[in-house]
Amino acid sequence: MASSEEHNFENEWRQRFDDASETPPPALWERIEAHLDEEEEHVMVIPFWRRTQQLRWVAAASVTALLLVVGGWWLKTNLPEKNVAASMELVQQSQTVASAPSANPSTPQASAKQSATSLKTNNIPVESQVVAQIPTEATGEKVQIAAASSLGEASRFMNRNGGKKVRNVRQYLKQSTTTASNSVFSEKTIASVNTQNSTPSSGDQRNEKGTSSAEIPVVVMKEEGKIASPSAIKVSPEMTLAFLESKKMRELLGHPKRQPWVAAPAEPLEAIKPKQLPKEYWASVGVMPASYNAGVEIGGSRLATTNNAPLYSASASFNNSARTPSATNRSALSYAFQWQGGVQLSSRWSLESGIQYLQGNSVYQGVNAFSTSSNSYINSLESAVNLSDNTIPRYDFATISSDKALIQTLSTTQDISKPSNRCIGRASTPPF
Amino acid sequence: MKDERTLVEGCQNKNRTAQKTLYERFAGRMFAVCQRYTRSRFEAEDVLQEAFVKVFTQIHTFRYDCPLEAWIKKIMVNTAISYLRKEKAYLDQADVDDYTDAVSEGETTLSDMEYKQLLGLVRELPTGCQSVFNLYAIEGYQHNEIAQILGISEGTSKSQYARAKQLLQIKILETNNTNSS
Repeated sequence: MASSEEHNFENEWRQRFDDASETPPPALWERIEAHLDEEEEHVMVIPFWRRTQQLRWVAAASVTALLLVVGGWWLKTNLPEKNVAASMELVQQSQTVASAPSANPSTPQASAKQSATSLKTNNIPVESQVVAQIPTEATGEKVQIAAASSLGEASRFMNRNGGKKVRNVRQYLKQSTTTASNSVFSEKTIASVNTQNSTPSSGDQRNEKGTSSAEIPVVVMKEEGKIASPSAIKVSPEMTLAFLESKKMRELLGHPKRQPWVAAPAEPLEAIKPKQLPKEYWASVGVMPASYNAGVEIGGSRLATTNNAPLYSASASFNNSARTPSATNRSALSYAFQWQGGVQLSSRWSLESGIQYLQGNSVYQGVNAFSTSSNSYINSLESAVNLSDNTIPRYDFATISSDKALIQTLSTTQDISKPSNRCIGRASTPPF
Repeated sequence: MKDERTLVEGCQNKNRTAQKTLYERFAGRMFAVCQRYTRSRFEAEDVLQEAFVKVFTQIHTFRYDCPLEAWIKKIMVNTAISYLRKEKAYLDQADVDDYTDAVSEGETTLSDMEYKQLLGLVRELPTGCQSVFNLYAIEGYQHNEIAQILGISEGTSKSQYARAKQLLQIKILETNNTNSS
């Protein structure tokens, strides 16, 4: 009884509400319409995304290309450090060779003795001091110098610029010589003897500045012819420090491991500063293969329709003997060579230029594109041109088909004028 | 039926004329549905708009396995419930067992009452009761289904419905008494 009662209650309500209807405000449809417009604008993006989803391999290729580029960049940024390390070893070896006159060149004591004698002969008061791995308080201001790498940098600088820069270096050193003769100070140059371990230890070679700077121009002048091996070059610490500053060698990765602590004079550092950055040159050569199908159609059904023939009978009414395959397009491997070069003028400006040679090998061959044997369109065109003006020379359309130059022009302009990226896009897009 | 199919296909092709035809055909009845679930006309308009946008964007999923009106109505109800949930209208929902005492039978007929009056009575119910009453009494869902839709327990659904029923009966009784007196 209770359940039927319950049923009645619900049925009553349901009946009342089931057929109920209320007119919504008329502006509501406009609001819904505006919403739908927005939704459709959002949907517009989807087809492109779906298309790219089908081309998953394109995404994979682009990711690979990106990895290659990033990898190349990483390699390029890390390469200079290796060069420095290599030239550093080279210089260290040459320094040991330079101290060959002594009985035992490999020992630091021998080189130290040698420098000591040279100091005596020059009769210049020099406060000589042996600098160990740990700098002492007595040496005054201590400057951290990466002696080995800076030497390497110096030699590299010499190598690259060769004879052109020798004059600059000589002036540079003369300047330092005058400042050195005015003031009396201590000089230390560290040539780390133990090249295998590359640990800065033991070997302290002291050179008086005057002698070392006097030597360098002579040596460099001699070396002008054979730049490749910078043997017996001694570099003053001021110069190495200057190059260090300009090249930001201290910021290189992993560099601190090779940094010995050395006390160096502070005055020359201020006195000698590089006036401008050394110029950097670079060049690159590239080859880019590509392929491209012109996809051009001249003649064929399009001319047939202009011939006032009905569409369905176009092929039938057309003279097949006169225009067998109207045109053929053939893609072939094309390639581009490019050469680029540049020079860095300052930290912000560089001058770059290049040249590119593009060889497009895609072929378009139009066989009888302008055949006159049975084409009334061409015939009427010919007569129209020839009748319109009698003063201009008559142009024979019949010869165009045999005019090799025209066909050649057609094919070459189609090949070259298209941008290369379109070539790639066209070749890679699968038919939908 | 064939007419309905062409209408649906037109909407699936985003034909604006077909969309407007469909709207005009169902808007009145659906607006009444939205009115039942909400407290004001403005809320009902909001729900109706939101639900019709959903209808047009989801019409490609319609498989003709039920009448079009039922499909649209389902969207209306779901939209209304999610709208109420968004408005935190269900916060006051709790098990209420105090109203289980039955009101005397036979006096709660709706014969003399108009639709507007009945709608007013439903709208005066607490939101939880209102939804459960709509779903159970008008739409004909079972309590376990309602529990799933509203995210409540079956017991809560039952007690909410009992409370709604009782409140309505009391109100109808009061109205009948004032009318007769």
